[in-house]
Amino acid sequence: MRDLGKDIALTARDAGLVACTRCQRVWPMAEDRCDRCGARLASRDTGSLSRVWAWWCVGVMAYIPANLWPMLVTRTLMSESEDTIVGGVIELMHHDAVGIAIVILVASVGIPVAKFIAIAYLALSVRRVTLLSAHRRQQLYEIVEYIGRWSMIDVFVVAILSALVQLNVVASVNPGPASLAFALSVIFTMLSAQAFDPRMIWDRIEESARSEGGEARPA
Amino acid sequence: MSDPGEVKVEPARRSLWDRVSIVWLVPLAALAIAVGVAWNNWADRGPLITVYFDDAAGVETRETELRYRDVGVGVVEDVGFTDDLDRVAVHIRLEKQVAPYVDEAAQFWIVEPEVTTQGVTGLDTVLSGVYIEGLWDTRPGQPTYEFDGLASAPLLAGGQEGLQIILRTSGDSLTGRVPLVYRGVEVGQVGEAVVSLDGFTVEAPAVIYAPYDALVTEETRFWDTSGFSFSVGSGGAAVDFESLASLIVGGLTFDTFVSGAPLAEDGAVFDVYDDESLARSSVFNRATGPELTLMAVFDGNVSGLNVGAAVELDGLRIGEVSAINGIVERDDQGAEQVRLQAVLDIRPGRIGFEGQGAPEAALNYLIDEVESGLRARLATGNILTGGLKVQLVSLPDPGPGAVDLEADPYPRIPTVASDIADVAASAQDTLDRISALPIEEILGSVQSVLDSTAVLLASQDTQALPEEIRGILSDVRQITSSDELQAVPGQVGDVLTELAGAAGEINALVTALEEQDVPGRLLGAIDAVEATLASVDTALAGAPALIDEVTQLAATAGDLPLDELVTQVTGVAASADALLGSEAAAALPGRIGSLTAELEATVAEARALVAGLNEQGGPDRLLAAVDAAGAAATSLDEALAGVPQVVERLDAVAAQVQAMELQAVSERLAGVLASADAVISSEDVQAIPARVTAIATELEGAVAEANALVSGLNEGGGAERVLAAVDQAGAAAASLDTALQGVPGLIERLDAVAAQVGASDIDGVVARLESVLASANGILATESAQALPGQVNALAAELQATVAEARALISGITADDGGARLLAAVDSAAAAAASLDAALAGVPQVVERIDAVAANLQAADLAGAVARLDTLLASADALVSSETTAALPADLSALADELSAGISETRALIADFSGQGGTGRLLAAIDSAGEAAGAVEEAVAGVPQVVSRIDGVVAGAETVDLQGIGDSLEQLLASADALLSGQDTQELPGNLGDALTELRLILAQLREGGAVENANATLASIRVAADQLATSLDTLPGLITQANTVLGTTGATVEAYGENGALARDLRAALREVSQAAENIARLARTLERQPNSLILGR
Repeated sequence: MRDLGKDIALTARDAGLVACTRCQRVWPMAEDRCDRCGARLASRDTGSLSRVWAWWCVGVMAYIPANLWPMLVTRTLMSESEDTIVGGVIELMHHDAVGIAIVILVASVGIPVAKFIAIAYLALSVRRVTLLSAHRRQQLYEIVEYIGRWSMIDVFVVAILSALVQLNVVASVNPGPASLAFALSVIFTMLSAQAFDPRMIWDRIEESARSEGGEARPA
Repeated sequence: MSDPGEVKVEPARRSLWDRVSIVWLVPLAALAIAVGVAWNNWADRGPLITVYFDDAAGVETRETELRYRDVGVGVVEDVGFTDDLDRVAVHIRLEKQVAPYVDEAAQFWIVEPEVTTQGVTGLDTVLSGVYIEGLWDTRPGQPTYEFDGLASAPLLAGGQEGLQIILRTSGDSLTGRVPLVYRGVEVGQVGEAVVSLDGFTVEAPAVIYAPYDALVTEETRFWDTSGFSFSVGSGGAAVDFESLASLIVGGLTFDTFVSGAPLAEDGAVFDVYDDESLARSSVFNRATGPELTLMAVFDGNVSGLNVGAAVELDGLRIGEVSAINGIVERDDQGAEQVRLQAVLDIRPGRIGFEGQGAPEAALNYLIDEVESGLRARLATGNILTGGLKVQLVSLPDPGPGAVDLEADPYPRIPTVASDIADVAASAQDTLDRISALPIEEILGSVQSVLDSTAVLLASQDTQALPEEIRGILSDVRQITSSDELQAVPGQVGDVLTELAGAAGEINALVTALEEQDVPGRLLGAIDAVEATLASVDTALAGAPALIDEVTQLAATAGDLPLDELVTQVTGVAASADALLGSEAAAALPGRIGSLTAELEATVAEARALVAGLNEQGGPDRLLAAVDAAGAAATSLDEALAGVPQVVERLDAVAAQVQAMELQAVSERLAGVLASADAVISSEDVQAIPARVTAIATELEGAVAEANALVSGLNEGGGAERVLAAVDQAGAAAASLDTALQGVPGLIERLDAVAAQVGASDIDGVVARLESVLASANGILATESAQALPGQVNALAAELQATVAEARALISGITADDGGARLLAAVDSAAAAAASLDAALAGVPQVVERIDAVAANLQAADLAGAVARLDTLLASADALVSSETTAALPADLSALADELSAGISETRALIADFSGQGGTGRLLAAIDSAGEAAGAVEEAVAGVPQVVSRIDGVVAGAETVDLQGIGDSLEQLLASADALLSGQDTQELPGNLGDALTELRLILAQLREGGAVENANATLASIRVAADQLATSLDTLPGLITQANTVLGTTGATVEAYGENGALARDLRAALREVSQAAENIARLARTLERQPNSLILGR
């Protein structure tokens, strides 16, 4: 079986071509814009990592108040309760709703934190030697990309509850400030993930192969 | 495949700006926003204050608000505890805006939903939860971060202004959290009531909101208006209450009864009274100045001592008991004892201390008084209710004690045991005694007495009494209107005529005196006068006492039952016969013989004297006197002519007497004589003859002396003077002759009287006499009577000694040439005889009158009189047989003792007289006698006048209708007899005796039952009660004032029925409130109907 990592392939840049990242049409390096979709053409996005880190920072910053501030404000007849995310989970576990608690815990805490870590790892692994192969990292990136769109599930729950439970004085559920922060955090994390240029995962392989054999070419 | 060749791709060396993405602006912006928000929060945050509460129910972190005027100005950040877990510490984050105003004066309290009788407060906190209300002023102050929270809302909340005072009461009229109402309008609020530090009063802060605070002055009175009052007046019954609210809740109101006092200031203390009348009266009974508060601890049962009881100092009310409670003290043995502790409010003004420092001065005064014995004690204040009061009394020996200035909470005054009279017990005891009395028997006796009295009064005799009296009165009128009485002036004229005659006689006497040796006699008379004056002087010194003695003697003599005496003397006379037969009596003739010898000698001397008289032409004069005597004898003879007839009559009387049943009388007499015999046969009586013999001996000596005296007279030419006296005597004899002229008629009358006496019923009288004698016999048999002879004997001895003294005296007189003086006395006697002569001139007329009286007497119904006498004797019998009569001998014995003593004194006097040259004095006395004789002459000169008066009287008596009087007397006696012999009268003594027996029994029971002690105790109680009553009367003005107030209230109540009365106003106010409440409820119902959810939403 062929070791894909060691395989030196001819890359588009090596061929003097540049592919449109939007519609995948290949253009000569000189072209500035894709004539088909009008997207800007660049062989490599030189500001990719910088943008990743910028969005990543904002996302983390937004994630802090999202956990400290109350996610839900529940008013019943006599009382008003505010629950943070973790507080809500604990509350649910006290009510023996362990399954839901796990779902919420995973969706609201586990996944966002995992995304932060994954993005940070990907961004760092561009310049450094990593334990994971390029393929694994590509897969990781795709997972992050894929999962990102589901990360708003908490916000959806809050929005639905707020819409449904409006029984005036008797009971009402309103979104807390944390929901906004959480939504922002998700958005910024997605932006951060989008800003990452996955081609940089492979560039490193090409360079190391060229310095070893010289005949390998990126595709 | 062409090889495009190696394209060297070199990353361009780009600037920092190129390499850094524009996206970095986003985190920068986020950061900026975060920092900005954080800064903003921090900068807007106010200070954190800590308020400490006892509890913090409902306070929640970050939820509970701090509100000022219902606006949130902070939030509770934390709720914790103080270090010692003693209190709750609530940390509140203030808003920066209000922080400067929250200074030291800020107050915090927790507002909770509260449902009271006055409404629901804090209802909004039911849904929202509690909040903390803050109150501070509007001026920034020194920032403070720690506060003590209030347990409840302050009275003046939310910017209200008003007067803050303290209400105080010792009763239970003060409840917290009630409104202060003024004329139906709520103008203030009373806060939470707390017990004061000393434990005796209840105090509550109160506030009167502006502008009503101007209604409260220092003289304002507060009282309780809770509930309602029910009064019944002349206008009917009235129910009065201030308002519906106060009826349910209770409340206080106030009023200022007197104007002019300064406005009250914050912190002023006011007393709360139970009702308006008390409050009103307190204005006028108010204590002036500060009070002195003392404390007294009493032992024992003190039920009855109430708050408001009087405190008295020597009966003066100086204060009252303001509080009472029990304390537990350890006594000397260490045992615990509950005692009563009373707080006394003393008003220094009542004991004279005024102005500043009066309480201290009064306290010092009381300290001094306590050292000298002042103590507090309980005394009965009201004898009916058993109410007690506190007395401050000074006791002579109260034991050690002093005012304890260290006592807590007030100085303590020492006490002594209570002086509480148990009236109820005494009264019970008395009632028991009374119920034990034999009331029914007494009533029965009284009833029988009353019955007897009624019968007596209804008897005919009693009915007839007025008739009898009227008859007597008519008789008296007859007498006074009689002609004789009218003729009295004419008789007075006769008397004057007689006086003229007497003057003529005196004239003749003076002429005769001039012819005789007047100068010499005058000289002697002057001597006598001189001596007499001296003697009179001396005698007069003792006269008053003598008069007293005589008066006493007369009184005693007047008391003597002479009848009895006479009877006794009669009995003694009868037995005197036996006495005469004794040896001593036999010896008497010898003595008398010698006495006769002496007399013989005296007669011899007298003969010589008569011879002298003869020589001086005396026979002629004597002859004249003899003639006169002869005429008198003739007259006598004539007079005696009727005597035989009288004798006959007397004989007849004697015959009747003889015929009477004298046997029993004799027996009685025999008994009497036996007693008398026993008396006479006693040794003392036997000794009497010896005494008499001795007296005779003395008399013999005295006669001898007299003999010598007469011979002296002989020598002194007394004959001549005697002649003169004889002349006068002759004249007197002539007058006597004249006087005797009327005697025969008199004798005739007497004869007739005797005849009537003979005709009268002597038998009954004799029978009575018999019983009288029987009684006399009993008396004679008494020891006292037996003792009489001894005393008589002693009397005789004294008499003997007296005679001896007299003898010595006479001999002294003889020796001292008393004859001459005696002659002078004889001269005076002669003059007296002359006067007597003149006096006798009127006697015939008197005799005539007596004759007339006798005639009248004769005409009188003697028989009836005798019958009456019989009855009288019966009464006398009862009298004689009475114990009092029986006691007479003892009295007589005492009298004899007195007599004996008197005689012995006389004797001593005579002895004294003799011993001290009494003879000379006696001579002087004889001179005095001469003078006295002169006086007698003068007196006799007035005798004709007297005689004529007697004449007139007798004449009047003569004309008196004796018959009618006798009839009336008889009727009267008959009535009296009937009255006395009536059955009722006879029963009266029996009933009286029964009544007396009952009375005696009652007295005995009373004496045995200790009723006197009980009565005394009861009286003491009554006295105490009277004291109380007096005290009560002191408070009467106050009572009247209160009554006045009550009446005023009643009047106001009555007026309230009028259009604009207070009750009407109140009622209108109440109705208005009810109407308003109904309206509100209706509105609420409508609102709920329209918007049910407003119940939930609160809108």
